[in-house]
Amino acid sequence: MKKQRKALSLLLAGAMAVSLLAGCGDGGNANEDPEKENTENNEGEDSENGDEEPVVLKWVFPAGEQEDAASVLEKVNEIIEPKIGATLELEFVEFGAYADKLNMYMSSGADFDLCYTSNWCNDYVQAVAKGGLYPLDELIENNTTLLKDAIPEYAWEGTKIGGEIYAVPNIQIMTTGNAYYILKDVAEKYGFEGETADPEMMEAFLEKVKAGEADLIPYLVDAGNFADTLSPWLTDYEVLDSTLGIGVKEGSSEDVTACVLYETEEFKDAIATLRDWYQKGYIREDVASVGDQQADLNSGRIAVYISRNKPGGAASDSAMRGQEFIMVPFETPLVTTGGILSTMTGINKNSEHPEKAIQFLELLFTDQELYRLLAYGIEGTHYTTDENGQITYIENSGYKTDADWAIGNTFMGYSLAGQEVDVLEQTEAMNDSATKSPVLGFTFDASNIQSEYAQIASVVAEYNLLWAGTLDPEESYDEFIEKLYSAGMQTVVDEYNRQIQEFMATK
Amino acid sequence: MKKKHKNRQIGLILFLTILSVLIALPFLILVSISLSEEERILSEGYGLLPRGLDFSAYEFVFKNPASILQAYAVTAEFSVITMVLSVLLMALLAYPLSRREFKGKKGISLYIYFTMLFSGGLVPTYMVITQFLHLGDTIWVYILPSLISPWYVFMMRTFFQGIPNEISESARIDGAGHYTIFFRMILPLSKPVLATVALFMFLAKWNDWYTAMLYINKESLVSLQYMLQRIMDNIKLLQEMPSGMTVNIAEIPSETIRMAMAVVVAGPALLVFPFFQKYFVKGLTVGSVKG
Repeated sequence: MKKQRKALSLLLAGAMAVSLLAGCGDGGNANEDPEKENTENNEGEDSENGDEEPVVLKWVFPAGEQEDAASVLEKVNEIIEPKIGATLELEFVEFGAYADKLNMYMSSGADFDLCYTSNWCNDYVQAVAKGGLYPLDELIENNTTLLKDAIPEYAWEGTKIGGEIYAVPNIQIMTTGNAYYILKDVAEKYGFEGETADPEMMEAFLEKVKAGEADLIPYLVDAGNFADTLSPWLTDYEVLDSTLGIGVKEGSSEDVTACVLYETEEFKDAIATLRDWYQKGYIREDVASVGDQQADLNSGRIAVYISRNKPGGAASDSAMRGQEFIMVPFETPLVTTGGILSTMTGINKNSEHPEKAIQFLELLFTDQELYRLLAYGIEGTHYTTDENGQITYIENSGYKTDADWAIGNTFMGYSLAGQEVDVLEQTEAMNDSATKSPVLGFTFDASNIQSEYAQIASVVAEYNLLWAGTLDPEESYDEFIEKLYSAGMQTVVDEYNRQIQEFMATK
Repeated sequence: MKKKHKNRQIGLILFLTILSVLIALPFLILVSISLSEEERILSEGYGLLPRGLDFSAYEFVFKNPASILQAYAVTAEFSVITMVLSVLLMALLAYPLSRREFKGKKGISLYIYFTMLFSGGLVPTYMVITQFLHLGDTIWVYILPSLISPWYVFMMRTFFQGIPNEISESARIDGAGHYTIFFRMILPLSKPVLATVALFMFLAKWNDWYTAMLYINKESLVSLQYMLQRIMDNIKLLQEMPSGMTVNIAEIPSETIRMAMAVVVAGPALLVFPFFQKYFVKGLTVGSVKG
């Protein structure tokens, strides 16, 4: 009897709690409804009268808060309002928080129209899988005329998922391919010359550096960065996943099959060489435990490192690090899916005005004045132009987004004073002339191999010192491969090949 | 006999000295790094004494003093409000649960306990807070969702139960109601637990950056931790993906800045601690010596 009563009281308490919540719910709805009706009414009137009140497009903009955004937006709206009947509103979210915030926005159906998406921040493939991005093919077809041609065909190709475009690719450097960056005075002192290089040339150079410069770390290695560290040896391969070590052979456009990069002859050669370099002292002794090496680079303690082969690369890295570097490429540039997916603008699936949003993007990609306004601000107020047509930012002007590469076509923008004058033209030429990857547009769906992925990742993390030179390949290599396969490497390769074949069939 | 006692005393003092040195050392090194020259840190490594004397890390953190001070003010404001309100509310909730004569306490305890095990998850929480309660971009988003913490409620209840029932009974005989008993008898006797919970709540809020990241877009409402974290993120971003040539990142001290930030953030929390400390000691002795 007593027990029953207890249960009853519990039930009552629960019921009360629930009804309390429900009560709140009603209140909330009642508050919200009038607003909704209002907007609906407005829209109704608009279409009837034909006298449209401008739609407000909200763009979650990948940059920190800009104090003087209002004056820029005023000018932006002067341009876009007469053309598409919409005004722009920016919500600034810094890159540090962008992925987390957008994840919340998309999951909760927040109200915005445009957002940044890519393969490294606010992940494009995941966003599409979650249904967060608006499919664009029909939208582009029906609402725009110039947008399609404003962006190269291969770039559109790269953004397709299941044959459908979900984001407009921003245009910047789209090629991958690496180069050695060498401290200029060291390179001159020890006579490193040549337009291109390979590991053998590098070895001869490193030997001289090691002998002559006791204070310098001759060669930078980053065990956590498989793709860059091994790129001098894997020049014939395109890396599809740098954790799994999956790649395809470049230039084999007909019979494309995925291979395990860890098993290639080139990889074995690479780890043997790196081991040798480590023992000879070309690689820092504490490479296994060192974390962030940026500071060493910036203080000029490292003679050679590997980074992207790009026009103006030496100048921009030199300016960034405060040390003079020269750039010597060892890989030919290749346009890959990854290069294209690294910066795009998408439209929110829940956007109320997707047509206006795509029209705005069309304007952004065709109207140079508009793009320059958003990317750099107002001339004379936020930046100045010199006789070469290069710009210098005015300090503390209240608008400096540093996001020109994240919001449109950088080739419509400016180069900065200090860069080579024709760096944009060179970059564009490099994009257009570069070989296109045989699997351009292919994105791997990893949902079937998630547990294998995690297991392989932990095996790789255990053995990645193989390419830092501290693990002896003769002892550990076979073990490494064995563990990879027991972690499910074969399943992964098969899955890759299945998806690649499917992809090639639709091409 | 006396000598043995003395020996033991010396051993204890020695042990505690070493222990406190071990605790204090990392913090001293932290301060020293934050004052060092970045260049020399890179070439010589960390040291107990600053390598050179250089305030540029602090200069960088305080480059925009107005916004840092504002973040300080915002953080202090919501930390203090949360601390006071949450202790009061949790005590008010814990008191009835500690009373034997209260009939519904099992049900309510279960209701509170339930939230300890199950939560709505991140996305639903986010939706409730932004779209239903409309707390986004207000100071209340820092305060309201964290007012009641089940763990501390039970901690307080247990403490209240430990206070002899005779005390409230004698008050009752003198004609006191529940409110009088609660505010004039129970609360003063419970200072140790109140102070402990208050300190923990304060520290938890002081170190809160996640709330700001999710719910705050207004610059004027950003919390201190989040602002400092953003400074760090932006330095990292500048280092990793150079978009322009406008900043020479080699000039931005990154090692020393990290430590300078830790000092800036830890400062007030360190000041608060001694204030609460005497209650901790009391908390340990409560119940040990009773007539």
